Amino acid sequence: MEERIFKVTDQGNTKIKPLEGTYEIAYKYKNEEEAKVAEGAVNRGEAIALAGKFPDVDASKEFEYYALKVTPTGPKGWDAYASKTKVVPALPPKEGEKEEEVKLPFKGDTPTKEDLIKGMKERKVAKYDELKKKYPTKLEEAKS
Amino acid sequence: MNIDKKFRREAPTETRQSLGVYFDREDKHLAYLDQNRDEHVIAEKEGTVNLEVGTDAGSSLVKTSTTYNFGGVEYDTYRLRSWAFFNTANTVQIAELGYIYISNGDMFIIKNSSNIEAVDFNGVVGGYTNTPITPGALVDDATDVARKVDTMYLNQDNTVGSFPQNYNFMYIVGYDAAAFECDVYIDVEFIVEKGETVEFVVS
Repeated sequence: MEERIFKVTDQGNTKIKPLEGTYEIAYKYKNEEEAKVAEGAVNRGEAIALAGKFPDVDASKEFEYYALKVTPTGPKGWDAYASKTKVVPALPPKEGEKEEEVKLPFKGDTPTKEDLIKGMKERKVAKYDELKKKYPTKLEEAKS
Repeated sequence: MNIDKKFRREAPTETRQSLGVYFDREDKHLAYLDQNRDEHVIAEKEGTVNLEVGTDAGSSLVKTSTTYNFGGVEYDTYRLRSWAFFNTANTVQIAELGYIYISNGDMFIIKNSSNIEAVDFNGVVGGYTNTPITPGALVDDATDVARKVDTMYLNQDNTVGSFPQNYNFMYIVGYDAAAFECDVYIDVEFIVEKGETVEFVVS
């Protein structure tokens, strides 16, 4: 069963619930290159993995760190947060230990009121256009 | 806008959830007929509610005196009211209300007492209809007969452009296969974690 392996938050530690994207987990052992050990989808601000567990660590090697990389992709063109890789010089958390999280940085500057109003109007037009494709005005209505 | 229509005293009893806005001319209070409580509820003790007129609607946001404590976490409560009038028939109706900024954390709408009013002059019952904003709410068209709309709701969208999730853009959205019109009275309450800054900018 797929479960949350770590959560994705903003700088204020609020889970970014609308966020969609992808994640990668990489492990680094001493005298080896960093290697990707897992990847998956970020959905509703949560990285999802089978059983919600980090991949097993090779106990025969000296573990240096794990890295969590999150790449936002949306939804619907939403582009507020930047990708981030978090490197933790410790063994990955086991079941029952403190949950891992990745805090994504906001990409832009503090928006102005004018920017926000403009953005609101543009989104309204986008919503209207999308809905109008599904609910076109009928010919007889257009004439009246 | 037909003021008499907006401020008429009688509210319908078509459904248990039905809620009508009226204006008490004696004590100048904006009030509601709450079918669930079967009594008139004065909504604003302080008197006038100033709805700031924006592009598509007039809106007001106030902080209420109610706080919630859930599992040790305290929440403040805010009340958003907006009036929008879709007077031109269309298959898609969208009104921008404004945006609500929350300094940190999410906003959760915990109460929705919004109403849709429609004309039913040529309908079986006649008069006006008042139904909650919901899929299947009653709207009207040029026939002056109220009918069900496919969907109508208050849209809270914090995924706009490149703005962080702290900005919640509020829209009224409705759509149907056939063109429709109606009046919409939004009245919702939402919570944020106690002490967070809340700003509302009418669009």
